[in-house]
Amino acid sequence: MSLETVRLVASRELRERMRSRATRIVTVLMPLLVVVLIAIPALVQAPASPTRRGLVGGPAQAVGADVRGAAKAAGLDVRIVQVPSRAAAVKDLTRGRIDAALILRGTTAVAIVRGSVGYFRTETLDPQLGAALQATLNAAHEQQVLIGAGVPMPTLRAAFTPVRLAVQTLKPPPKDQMARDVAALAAALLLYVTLALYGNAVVAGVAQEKTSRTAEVLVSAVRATDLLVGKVLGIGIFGFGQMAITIAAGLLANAVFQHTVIPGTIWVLLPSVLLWFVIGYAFYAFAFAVGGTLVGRQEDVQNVAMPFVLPLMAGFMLTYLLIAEPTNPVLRILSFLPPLAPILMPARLAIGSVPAWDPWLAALLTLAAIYGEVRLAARIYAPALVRGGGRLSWRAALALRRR
Amino acid sequence: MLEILGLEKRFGATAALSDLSFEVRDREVFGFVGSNGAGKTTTMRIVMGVLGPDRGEVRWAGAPLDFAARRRFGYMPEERGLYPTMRLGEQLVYLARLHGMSLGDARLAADRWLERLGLASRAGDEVQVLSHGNQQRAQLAAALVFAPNLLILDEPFAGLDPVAVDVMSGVLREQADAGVPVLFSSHQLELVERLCDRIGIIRGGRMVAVGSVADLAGAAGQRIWVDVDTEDASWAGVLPGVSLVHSEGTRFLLALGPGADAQRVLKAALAHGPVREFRRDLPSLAEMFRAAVSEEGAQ
Repeated sequence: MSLETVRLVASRELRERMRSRATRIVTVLMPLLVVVLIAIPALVQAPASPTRRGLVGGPAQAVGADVRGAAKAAGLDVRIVQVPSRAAAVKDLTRGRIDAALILRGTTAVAIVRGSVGYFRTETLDPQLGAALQATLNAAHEQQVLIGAGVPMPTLRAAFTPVRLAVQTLKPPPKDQMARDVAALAAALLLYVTLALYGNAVVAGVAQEKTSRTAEVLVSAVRATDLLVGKVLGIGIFGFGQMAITIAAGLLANAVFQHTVIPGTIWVLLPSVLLWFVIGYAFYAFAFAVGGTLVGRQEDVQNVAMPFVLPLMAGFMLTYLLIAEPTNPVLRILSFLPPLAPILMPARLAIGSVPAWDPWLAALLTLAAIYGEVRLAARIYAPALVRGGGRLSWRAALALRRR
Repeated sequence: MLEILGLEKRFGATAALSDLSFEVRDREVFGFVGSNGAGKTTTMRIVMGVLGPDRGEVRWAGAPLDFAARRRFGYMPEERGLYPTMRLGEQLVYLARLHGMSLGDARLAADRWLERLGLASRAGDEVQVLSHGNQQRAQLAAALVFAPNLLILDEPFAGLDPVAVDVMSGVLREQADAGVPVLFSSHQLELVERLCDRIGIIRGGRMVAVGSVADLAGAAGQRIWVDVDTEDASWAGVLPGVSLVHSEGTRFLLALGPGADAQRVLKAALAHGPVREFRRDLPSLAEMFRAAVSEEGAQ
C-alpha cells in the first residue's frame, strides 16, 4: 500500500466534499437541528418556581403548615399565601398570582385549579399532592372532632404522630436513569444517521467513479486497494469532523439552556460514541464501497446501499427495546454482532451497568469482521469497479477475479 | 518499445483476442484500426492493466510490463474518465500527483497543457460543464500531464471538429517525435493514414495486417491505371499475370500478379495507340480496411 497515494485520494475526497454546497448545508443543519431540539423544550417550559397556593378561611389557614409538609412529601415546593375570599382566590388564579386555591368550609374542602390554559396545556391538581392533601385534611378534621370530644392533647399527639414508611430498594436505579436512557437513544440516533449518511456517501462516490469511467483511468495509475482505503478514509475523516461538531453543538446548547440532565455516564459515552463511529464506519464503509462497484448506473445507488442501511436501522430500533430491558440476554448477545455493535454497544454504555469486557469483545469481533471484509473487498473491488455493462449481482461480483 | 505477444482473451464463449501480436516502436504513431468489436479496446485495456489476458504477454522496453512501468503510460479510455464535478485544473494536478509528480511540477504541467490545448480559461470549470470537444481535450491533457512514456488512446478523435482534430494530431505527432510512442484507435481512416507511421488492422481479435501504408498497399499487390486509345480490354487480358480489375471507357485498372511485368504492360498498351496515363495505383487505407472487413464477412 502506498501511503502517499492513500493520502492524495483521501485529501481529494475531503476537498471535494468541503467544496460541495449540499455538504456545507448539511454541516450547518445537523448541529443547528440538535441545538433547536435542545432549545425548544427549554424555551417552552417555564423555569421552575415554587407553586403558590391560596388558602381561604380560618380553618384553611390553620392547616397551612400541614399542606406545605404534605406537598414537600410529594416532591413539590409549595408556598402558602392567604387569600381573603373565594372570589379573590378565583381572581388571583385567573391572573396567575396563585396556582391553586384550597377552600375549607367545615368538613368540606375544595381545591380550585385553572384547568385548560391553552390548546395543548391543562393544569390540574397533582395526583400525589391531592392524595397527600386529602390525608392531611382528614387528619385535621379527625383532630378537631377528637379535641371536641375531650381527648387529652398528649394522647392526640401520640395518635397522630405519622408512622414513617421507609422504602428500601435492593438495587436502586441511578438517579439519572432517565437522562441515561435519553443519552442512549440520542447516541443510537446519531450513530445510525451518521453511519448511514457517510456510508451512502461512499456508495455514491464509488458509483460515480465507476459510471464516469474515471476508475479505468485511476486503476492504471493507482492500486485499487489504495483507492479504496483513501476514499473510505477521506469520507470518514469528514464524517468524524461533522459528527464531532454536532456533538459539540449539542453539549454547548445544553450548557446554555440547562435543560437536559447530563447523565453520569457521559464521560464513558462520549469517547465511546466517537470510537464506535470509527469502528462502525470502517465496518460499513468497506461494505458500502464494494456495493458501489455493483452499480450499472447512478440510479442503482439506493438499491445497493439498502442492504447495509437495514441493519443500521435495526440497531436503532433495538435501542428502544434495550432501554426497556437493559439486561435482556438476547439484546446483550446482539450487541456483540458486528453489524449491530456500533449502535447497540454505545447505547448499552450510556444506560450503564455493562460488564467491563463486553465493549472490548464487541470491538474485537467487529475489528475481525473488518479485516475479513477488507480482504474480500480487495479481491473484488478492482475488477467490479472497471467492469462495464449493467448492474452486477453479489454472486457475479464474488465470482470476479482480476485475471 | 511496446510489445504485445500472443494475447488471448475470452468473454464467456466469445473469443475477443486470438493470438494477437504486434509492436509499437519508439518514436512512432501507431494506428489501430478494426471494426467495432474487433478487439481494439480489449487490447488497450489489457495493456493498461484494466483487464488481464487469458494468455500472452505485454512487454515494455524489453521487460514484462509491471505496475511501475504502466504507471508512466498515459491513457485515454474510449468512454472517457474524469470526475464530472471536479474542477478541470485541480483534476489535472490530482492526476499528475497520482502519477508521482510533486505539487509544484504538477501545477506547472497542468497549466502548460491547458494552455497548449486551448483550455486555460476553463481551468476553474467543472468537467461536466465543458462541451464534448473540450472534454476530449481535457481527457488528452489528463493523459499527457505527467509526461508519460507511452500514450494509449482509444478513439481520441471521435466527435472532434476539424480544428480540434488538427490540434490533437499535432500534439500526438510532437509526442512521438519527442520519443513518446503513441498507440491509438480510430475509425477515421484518412486521419490514421495521414498521421500514423504504422498501422495495424485487427479483425475478429487477430491482427491481419501491420505496417506502413506503403507496406500494406504493397502487400495488397501492384495495380496500374492505364489510359490507352481503345475501349476494348482484351489486350490486357492476354498478358501473363495481369488481370482486369476495373474499366472506365479507355481507362483500365490492372492488377499485376506474380510474374507480371509493368514494362510489358506499357509496351502492349503502346501497341494500341498513344498512352495518356500510366501510373501505379496505391489503394487507400479505407480500401484496404474494407477489403479486410469484406474478407471477414466472407468468412
